[in-house]
Amino acid sequence: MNKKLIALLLAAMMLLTMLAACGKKSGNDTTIADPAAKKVYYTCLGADHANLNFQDNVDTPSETPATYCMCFLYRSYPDESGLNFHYIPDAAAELPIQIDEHTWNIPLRKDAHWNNGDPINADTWIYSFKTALDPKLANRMGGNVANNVITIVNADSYMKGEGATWEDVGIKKIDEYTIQIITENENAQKDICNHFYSREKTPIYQPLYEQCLSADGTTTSYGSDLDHWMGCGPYNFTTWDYDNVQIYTKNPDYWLADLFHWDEVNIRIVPEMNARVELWEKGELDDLSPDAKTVDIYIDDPRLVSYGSLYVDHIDINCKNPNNPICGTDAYRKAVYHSLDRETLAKSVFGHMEPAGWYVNTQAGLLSESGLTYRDSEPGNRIEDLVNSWGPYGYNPDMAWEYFVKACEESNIDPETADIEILYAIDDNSPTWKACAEYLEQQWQDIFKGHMHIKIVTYAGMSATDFKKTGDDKWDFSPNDWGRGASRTYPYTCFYYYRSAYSGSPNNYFNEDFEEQYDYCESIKTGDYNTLLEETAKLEEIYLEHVIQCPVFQDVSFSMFSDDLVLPVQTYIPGFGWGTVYADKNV
Amino acid sequence: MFKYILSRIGAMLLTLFLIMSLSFMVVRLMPMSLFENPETDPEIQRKLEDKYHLNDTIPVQYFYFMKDIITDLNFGISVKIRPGLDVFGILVSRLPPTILINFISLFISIPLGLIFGTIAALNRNTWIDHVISVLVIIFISVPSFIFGSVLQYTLTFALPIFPTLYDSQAVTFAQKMHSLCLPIVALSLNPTATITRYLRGELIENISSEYLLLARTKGLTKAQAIVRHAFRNSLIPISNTLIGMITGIMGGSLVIEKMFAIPGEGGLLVKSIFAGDHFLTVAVLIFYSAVSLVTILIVDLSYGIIDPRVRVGGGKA
Repeated sequence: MNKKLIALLLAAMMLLTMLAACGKKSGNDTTIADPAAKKVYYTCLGADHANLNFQDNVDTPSETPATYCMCFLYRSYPDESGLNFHYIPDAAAELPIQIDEHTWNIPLRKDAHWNNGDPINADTWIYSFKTALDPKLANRMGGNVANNVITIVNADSYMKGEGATWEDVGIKKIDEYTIQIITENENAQKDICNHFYSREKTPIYQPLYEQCLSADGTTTSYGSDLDHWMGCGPYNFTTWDYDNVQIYTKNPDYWLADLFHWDEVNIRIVPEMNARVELWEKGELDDLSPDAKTVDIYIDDPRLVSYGSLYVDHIDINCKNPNNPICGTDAYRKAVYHSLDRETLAKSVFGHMEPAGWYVNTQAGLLSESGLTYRDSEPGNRIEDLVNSWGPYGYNPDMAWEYFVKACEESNIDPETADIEILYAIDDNSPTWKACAEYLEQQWQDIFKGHMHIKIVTYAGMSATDFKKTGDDKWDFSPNDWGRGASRTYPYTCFYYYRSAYSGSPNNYFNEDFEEQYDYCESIKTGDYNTLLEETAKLEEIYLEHVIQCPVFQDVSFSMFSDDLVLPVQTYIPGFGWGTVYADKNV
Repeated sequence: MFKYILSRIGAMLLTLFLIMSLSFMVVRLMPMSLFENPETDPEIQRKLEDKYHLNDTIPVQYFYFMKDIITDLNFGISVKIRPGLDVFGILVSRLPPTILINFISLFISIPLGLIFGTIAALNRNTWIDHVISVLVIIFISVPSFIFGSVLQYTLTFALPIFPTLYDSQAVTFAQKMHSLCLPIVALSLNPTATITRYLRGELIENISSEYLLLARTKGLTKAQAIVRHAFRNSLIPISNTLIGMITGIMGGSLVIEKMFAIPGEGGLLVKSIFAGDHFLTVAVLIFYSAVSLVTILIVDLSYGIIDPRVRVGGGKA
């Protein structure tokens, strides 16, 4: 009897499963099939954000819910021409008012409120900034509140517990609807707006935050899910199924609701590019950002648009490997620099990237007063001419060999008998950089006549920074792509990470001349822009003279948008993007 | 029997303890800092590490780790994937889709494997047997994620019968299962083939054995003899393979979950390892180990049910 019962149960389970499998279309498909009912923006992200505590969350995907579901003091908004953007007051009532060289008042809207109707006023902002900088909480994004586009007086010192009290910090409440910011340097009005338009400077809801705070005040679960978080933006975050889907619905009570046209924003989390392409091909996505491997499929598609990103991908060079006898010489780094056939690498190995024998990116300077990028400027062009005078994008096998011989001689090694192994450290998830290593290994047989060759070492499950900490003898080359947003305004800040003053520098080669020139650029950054460009060129010249690290290609980003999507811009605007948050749809 | 069960549970707990300790040590000895971020000030990083006892020695960290688990069932707090959340809660929240795809795959695989194995054995060396054997070789040798890719392309894109991704917003269970169909099928192929292969071999051996001849001479029909004797005896070695199959399916689901955007435990393990969320990595490892150990326990205990000749309990002969 029991056996029969078990058999019956088993059969029933199989039948149920099969019936379920033959069910109707899923709920998601149903909503897609009926777009006329409302304007829905279907998009996807490669990864979900960890939480909604924007003061601590360092994940880039958290930009999305912050942009859609939070208010800022100021927001960027496209010009009517669709070619540029400006800042508009969001929770602020008007643009910042300059009181003196270092002091700015920010008047606040009186009708700003949380999704539950509670008011957002000066106390809200002061509490939010104080929490972000709280030394006990040690929020990972707190540093960006203290110092990013502008530097707020004593904020850094307060956050690090270095003596400053909250009263010393340059963030003050003037009245119920006015806050005051005191900066260390003189800044332009748009710098103040720009500084406060980022997710870590969005407000936090005090009653809930304190409820989520641990007894010792060191940890918080605020933002861990929708029940422990409060929104205040143009959209309500209605559904968050972690690692699967996010749904935002329009908030009609938002004070700038007229600027936003979507009724719903539906974001799928799709880690696999193949799946994203399938969704795009099926018309289930309104946009797609193909990666270097996928872009080939769409290279002739008129919808494909591209732009140079903030990154010049490069190779960090270890100058302290005890097993590499020539690594400490400038000549060695120059040999490496001239041995890279950047045109072939950028086009064939990395796929539709732009070769770059220099380091300042194509966006640098775009947000400056004149909007002139460094690369388009005369000083920038001069550096490009210098690089191309050595060979295309600096590639010159003869020079590479000459410098190699010089490096060997400086290190008392006979270049004809040298056998130098270069440890090329990469992440397992970097097939293109691995292909680059394989290409170089082949090329170097000719360039360095077999006296210098590459060995690939991987550091799966570890960051490059951590891998480097395991010892200088573990690596010689390490591919990298760090970008600095501030370079859009001040081009020289591209080099920010490669100074000894920066504690997390990926390099171990530092140069006094380079650092002095950087500091000089810093000291004149608010002065004449053309002078700054000239000095930036000098900085880039020193960079190339010593090959602080080795540039390979200018990263290019690709995007496609569905025909129904109406973007608020005519082209990609660095620092603003495509403005899909303000986009509309033909339905 | 009761004593045997107790001893098996005791052994299981001891093994789990060793796995927990080993997982903790292996993960914690990795050089990556939990709070590694070039943008984070070293002073803040130090404070964060102090907060989670990460600047203490490994034995001290291990003490806190075990104490929290034993006293509060507290596996720690996620610091990267879901900062501030209890990792046990994260594990539990992601269990449903993982359980669905893993166990349904298994429940489908067992009867199908038994059916195909029996058919192949009864039709030994015929074209039916050959077809099944070829399919078995393919399904065993090709990893599940390859089938996942093929199924995803053919049945969601070329012939759009199923949705491309898992639909967690599906209203009904049937709709949810519809979006889980392909990952389940992809995960079922290997275990189905494994059972088919084992059963075919065992059944062929038992069918040609002398005790089956005796059963026939006692008057049983061929079908009765096979079902009552040969089939039953063939199941004993197969039950052993279940352990491997369960861990195999769970291993396969690590990739399948990512492919179909299923927010399950598999994706969590991979993400936590790459993010360096050590507390979460250890907790997921313990979860997978616990599932495997419980499976081993169930299989051990089921020996007695499948084969009455097996006497357990440690009685002396």
